[in-house]
Amino acid sequence: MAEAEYRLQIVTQQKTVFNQMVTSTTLPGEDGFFGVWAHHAPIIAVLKAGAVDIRRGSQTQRVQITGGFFEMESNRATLLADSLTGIVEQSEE
Amino acid sequence: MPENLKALRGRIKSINSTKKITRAMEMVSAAKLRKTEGIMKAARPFMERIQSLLGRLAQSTFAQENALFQKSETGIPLLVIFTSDRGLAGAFNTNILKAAVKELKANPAMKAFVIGRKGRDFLRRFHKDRIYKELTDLNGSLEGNVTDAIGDELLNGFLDGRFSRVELLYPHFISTATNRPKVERYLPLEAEKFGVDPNEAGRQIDYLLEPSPERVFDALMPRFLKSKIYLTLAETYTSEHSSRMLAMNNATKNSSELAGKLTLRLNKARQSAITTEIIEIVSGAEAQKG
Repeated sequence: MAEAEYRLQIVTQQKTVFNQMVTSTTLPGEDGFFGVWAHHAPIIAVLKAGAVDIRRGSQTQRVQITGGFFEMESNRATLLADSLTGIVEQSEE
Repeated sequence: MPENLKALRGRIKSINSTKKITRAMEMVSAAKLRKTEGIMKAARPFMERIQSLLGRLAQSTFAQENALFQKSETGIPLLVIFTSDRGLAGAFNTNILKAAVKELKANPAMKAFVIGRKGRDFLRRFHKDRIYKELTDLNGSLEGNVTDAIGDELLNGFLDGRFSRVELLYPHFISTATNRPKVERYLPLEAEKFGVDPNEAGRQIDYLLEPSPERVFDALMPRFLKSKIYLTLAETYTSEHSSRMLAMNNATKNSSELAGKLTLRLNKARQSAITTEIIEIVSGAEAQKG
């Protein structure tokens, strides 16, 4: 059976840079890195500068953020990034 | 007395070159409008997300006790006026400044933080004593250092008691054809704006807040306030370009109309000069026959 997925949106002030299904995300929280999988409890977290790893199946993408916020509720996640570097590949969808 | 053909030709020529300039300005504004409108629309989702996050937090007690939600007793009310650096944009700046004067008259203690050369020049001439700060030559910039500097200044000024409240006055972009001056409360925050139900104040929020509720709130608040400035500036630029585009479109139309009228006058005058000449020749020839 395929791993459970959830929708992740990455939004910056300039545009929505990413919007697709992912398996897990690793984020730089203020108290350290944490991972978010599907069906995570509702959360709002403050992020510091660092790398965000976005995984879908066996593929992983990494983007750098300078800070921001992460929200997840009913299996929909939003990453509000202050600014973002790194190539975000917008495959299918 | 026949009209002066040479003078008429000169006027038509000058009107046509004015028309070329206004048409070029119209096209430049149209291009800039597309760009800034895109920026403004792209910034909205981010803003809405931040606002909805805050809305969820604002419900709780610690948020309502936050200084940013409290009315301040000290300091002066501040009006932040968004105008453009350049003119030739129809009634754009006039409308904003009219609203500004109304606002300043209604609140005698209020000072103005004026953005844009047009607003600055106007206030310097007529309300010099009301200027708190001036900021000009942004050149359409939406760089983080510009918007953050404004946001920080307003936020810090409010927190250290220099301002009792802060209002933004900016041209609200309704459509390409319409923008209207709008006064909006910036600080203190109004809980109702975030969809907070006063009857449910203090309700527990069922979110994990990392690292702590206070920290999340303290980080979100400035972000929200800076984004608000970013969006307001983007809206000001968009409205400016749409106003200028319309003004220049009208100017181009007027020049066409005027050039048409003058050409008609020129042709009539030329025709009557020719007729007069022919009559002179014919009557001269008739006289010779006689």
